[in-house]
Amino acid sequence: MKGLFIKDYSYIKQSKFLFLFLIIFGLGFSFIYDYHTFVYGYFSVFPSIMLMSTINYDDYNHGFTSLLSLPISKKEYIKQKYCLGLILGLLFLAIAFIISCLSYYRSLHSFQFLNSDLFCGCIMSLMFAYFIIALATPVAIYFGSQKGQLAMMVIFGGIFVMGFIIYFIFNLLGIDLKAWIDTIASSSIPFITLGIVVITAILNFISYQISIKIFNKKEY
Amino acid sequence: MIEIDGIKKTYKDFTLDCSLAIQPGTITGLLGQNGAGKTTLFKAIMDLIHVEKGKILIFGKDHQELDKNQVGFVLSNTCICEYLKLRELIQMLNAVYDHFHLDHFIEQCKAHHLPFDKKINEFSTGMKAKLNILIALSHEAKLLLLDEPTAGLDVVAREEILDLIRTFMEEDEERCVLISSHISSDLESLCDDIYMIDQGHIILHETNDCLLDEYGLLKVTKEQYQDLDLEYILKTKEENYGYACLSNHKQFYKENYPDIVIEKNTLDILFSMMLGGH
Amino acid sequence: MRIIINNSSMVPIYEQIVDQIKKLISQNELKANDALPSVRALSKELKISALTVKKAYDFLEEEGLTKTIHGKGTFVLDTNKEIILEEVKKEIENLLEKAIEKAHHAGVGDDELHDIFDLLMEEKNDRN
Repeated sequence: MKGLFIKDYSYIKQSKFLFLFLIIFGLGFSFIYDYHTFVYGYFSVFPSIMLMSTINYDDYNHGFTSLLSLPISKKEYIKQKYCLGLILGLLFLAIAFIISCLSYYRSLHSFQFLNSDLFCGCIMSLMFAYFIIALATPVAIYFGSQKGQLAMMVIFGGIFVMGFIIYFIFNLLGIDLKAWIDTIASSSIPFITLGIVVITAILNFISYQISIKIFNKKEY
Repeated sequence: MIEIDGIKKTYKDFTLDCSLAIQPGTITGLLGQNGAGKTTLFKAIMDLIHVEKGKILIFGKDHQELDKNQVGFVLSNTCICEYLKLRELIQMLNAVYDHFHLDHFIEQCKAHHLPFDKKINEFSTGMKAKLNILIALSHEAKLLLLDEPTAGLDVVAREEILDLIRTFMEEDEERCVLISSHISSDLESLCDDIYMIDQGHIILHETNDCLLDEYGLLKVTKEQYQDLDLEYILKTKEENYGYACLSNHKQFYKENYPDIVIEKNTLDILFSMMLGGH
Repeated sequence: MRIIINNSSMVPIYEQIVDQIKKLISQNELKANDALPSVRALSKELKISALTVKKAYDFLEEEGLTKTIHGKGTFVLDTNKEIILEEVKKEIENLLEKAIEKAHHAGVGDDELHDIFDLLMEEKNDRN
């Protein structure tokens, strides 16, 4: 698995300017609008995008044919991708955390903002990142590099549409979703966070199993 | 070393259906046109595609359990992780293979003038082909599976690659190689055993020695053809002087028909007769 | 060991190897107990199939000129060079016999045959 990490690290290193741009943009937006938590949402979509692009690159020009001729099993490959997703999630969260701290400190001049709500928020955004990875990885494996980009757009569109439909249904039933979430959230944030962590872990495990099944079926 | 027993793989307009065996210590050549099924066969051996029927045994075990540390695999025109620089690829390979000969590999890359700080997809065809074969030879493989390793190369580069394979075989008598090509002269000077494949089927299997020494091309006039004993004639093709006949027993005709012109066989002749004759 | 293979010759390649190794032995370039190159090494050098080399080595062993010790290699035996020379002479005799036969068939007289032979020898000596 070490070899696969070296490969992905070498590839991700090639996009260091993209990283720099993302950080500067996040920093600038937080500072200009005094929107200290903006970066959490902003950075939570990048781990999956980065992960998908490593898969696309592996598939580039019949890449899987030669990659799978190395002593790397299909299962090992999939396992490494989920591990990489885990690491990328933490990496982007760390960047987001630093930027938000800078942004908070700049306007508050104190460290009062470091409370349990912020930490729960961090974990929530991390779980959101992992949630997208769980959805997108099997799709990327299934469609490969050519149709992969399109599939990704469909997924993100799907998430958006699904959210909208849920919101619409609740509205129709006369339930004020926002107030509902607020009441739950204010009562027991740590408890909810824990619940979401467990759900995301289960989702990722299922997604991992599906990815392996898909990958085993595919021919290169 | 490898036993392939009646494997079958069906595509929309192509079916691979063949059996072959590769003995330890030998170089086996797979000769066939583009689209004859060579690459499909290699992919089946490497378990990159799923066969519908039949069995593939490598080192006595089912091919799905094959330890790929023991195999050097080359597919023409594709390299591993082409978006990496050679320097990065070397680090990766060193981590992936159990017995990667790092120093020797770096030396070989230098000797063949491969640029370390260039991305592989910017390499020329010749550089890619050399890199592929060097990788296949870098990790103490017992078996080389080489699909068109010399495709698109000039004579000098091809000869360099064939020499690398010969040296590999000289180092250990138990090693073996399966190599495909549509350039028959490459196989003629390298292989011990030749399989000819066409439209997914093996149409000929002989030792190279036998093909060169016992096979021959008879050039006969129409009159001579009338009297010819056709027992050892495999294929016949009409020519403007009469007929060209491929025989697997040229000595017989040499002794019984001293007037007939008999040409020494080459794989090129064999190839065009097997595919063009009837 | 210097062996030259003619790939376009009608003489089978293994026979070319056998003949040349015999020649090397009879000329004392290969002495008793000298090792021949390994089958793979010679096949690499001559760019021919290893099976062809093996066939040639087997043939030499059958004729009692070499001995293969498993795992060690093939060695030249201490044979009487006269025997090899004798064999070669016999072969030449056979070839000449054929020439004579052909001459008789075609009605070429004995004197004429002698003349042809002398002429060829002269030409050959001139060239050397």
